[in-house]
Amino acid sequence: MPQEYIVLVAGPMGAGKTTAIAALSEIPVVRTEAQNTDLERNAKATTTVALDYGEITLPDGGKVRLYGVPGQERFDFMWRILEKRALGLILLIDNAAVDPLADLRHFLQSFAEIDRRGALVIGVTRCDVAMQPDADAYYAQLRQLDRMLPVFQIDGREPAQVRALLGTLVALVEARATFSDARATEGATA
Amino acid sequence: MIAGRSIAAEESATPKRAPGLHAASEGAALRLVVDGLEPDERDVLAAILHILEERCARRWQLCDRAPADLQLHTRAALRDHRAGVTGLILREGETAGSGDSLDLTMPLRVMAVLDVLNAAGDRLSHRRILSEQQAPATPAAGVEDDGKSLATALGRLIERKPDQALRVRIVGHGTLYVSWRQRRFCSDFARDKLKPALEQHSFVLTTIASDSPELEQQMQQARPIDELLWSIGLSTGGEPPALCSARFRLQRWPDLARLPHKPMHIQACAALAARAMSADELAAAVGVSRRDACHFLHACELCGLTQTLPADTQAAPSVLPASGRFTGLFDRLRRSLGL
Repeated sequence: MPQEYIVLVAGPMGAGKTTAIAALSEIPVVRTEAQNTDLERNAKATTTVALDYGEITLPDGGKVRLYGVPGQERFDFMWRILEKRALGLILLIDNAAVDPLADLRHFLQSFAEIDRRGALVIGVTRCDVAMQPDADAYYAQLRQLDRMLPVFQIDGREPAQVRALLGTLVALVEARATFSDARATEGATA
Repeated sequence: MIAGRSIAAEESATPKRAPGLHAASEGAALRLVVDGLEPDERDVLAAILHILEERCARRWQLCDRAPADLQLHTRAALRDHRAGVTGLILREGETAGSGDSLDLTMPLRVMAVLDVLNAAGDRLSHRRILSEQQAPATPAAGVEDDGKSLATALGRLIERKPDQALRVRIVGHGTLYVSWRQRRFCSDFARDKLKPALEQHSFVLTTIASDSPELEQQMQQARPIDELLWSIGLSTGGEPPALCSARFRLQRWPDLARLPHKPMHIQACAALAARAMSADELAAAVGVSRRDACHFLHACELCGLTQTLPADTQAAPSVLPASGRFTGLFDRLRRSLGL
């Protein structure tokens, strides 16, 4: 029977979650947006207030369901529901935000269950607008948090780059499931 | 006159190998035997080899008896025909050997010794490739670098972390500028032409000052050097000594959104992030040839992405057969998305 896999796309407002899902999805992205009332944080006029949804059909009929979760903390009840069922998380960080590394820490903490499984990849967006922090700074931050996660600098409008993120997430999950000692390590650190 | 004397420092046990293909085919230290030098000259050579330890393209070990990958001998000393490559030590007033002979002129100089060792290493690699091509079994999955390509030359230079920048005019392609100090490079040809350009054998490589106006102007369109190192690593490497005996763990991911890659590179990174593996273990885990695994590891090493662990680090477990619900998902996704 064809299986379904849920992949979450999360990150602060304006990081490009909807754009990334649109780059991956084979169906038009279904989204719900409203007026942005948090203009201090991000100047864009509208923002997602429910889940963005896209999907990819696998050759055996299975589906990869892509859920873009709203970036504002008041929606974090949705994060809790989805993270338990999710294969993994694509975390997008806006490099032009006030403090991207603080956003990284915040979202790693918010998705602690997925983070603990190591099923998480990080895409840093808008590097053309803000070159700092650079990749070294992200890896230094992850080392401080005792994490070793992929960090790619991406443009969410480039499908190949977003596909590389998704492919990496799936390969990570598969590799962890394949090597028994990795599973043991997971259990030990849980 | 002293003949038949050799340099001290001997390795313990020497496995039997085919004549002329000693360590070169394996990645262990190459064996150097020197005959006909005075004791003080031998001491000088030993000191030079110590200095060059980090700079040689291959690792060399001084041995006092055959088998030898390289035998350097004076005209008075006997040539060992079992050596992989031989070279002539020229005393004052002596004429050079034949056109293609490796000559080392006395008194010994560091750079001259380096050139001879690297040239000998190249010849041994070339012979190994030829012998593998003639071997009937195990056809190679791709074209092996013959040690004379731009990729090899750049790889060797960059490993020395040069202070000066490099300008490379590549016949039929264009010009490439590399600044190790800035960790950036640029080219006046398209990005997707980098790989074929690195495979070229016709090029002119010039060192230029790191603060030259020419470089400053070119570097305005420069890209991070990892893009170049990644391509060099994937095109070259063969089986460098360290790759054969050690295990590797990924300590930082290559930026696969930017760097050209194949699906196996994603899977190899994921495997090395989960577990330290040797080249053989990685090849088995990802389902690729040992050569491809070595090239991938070489690319990671050049980009500083892997941590090298001793060979006796706990072995990776055998790859488990398909069982979990995630098994095969990457392949299915790859087919759907054309990764």
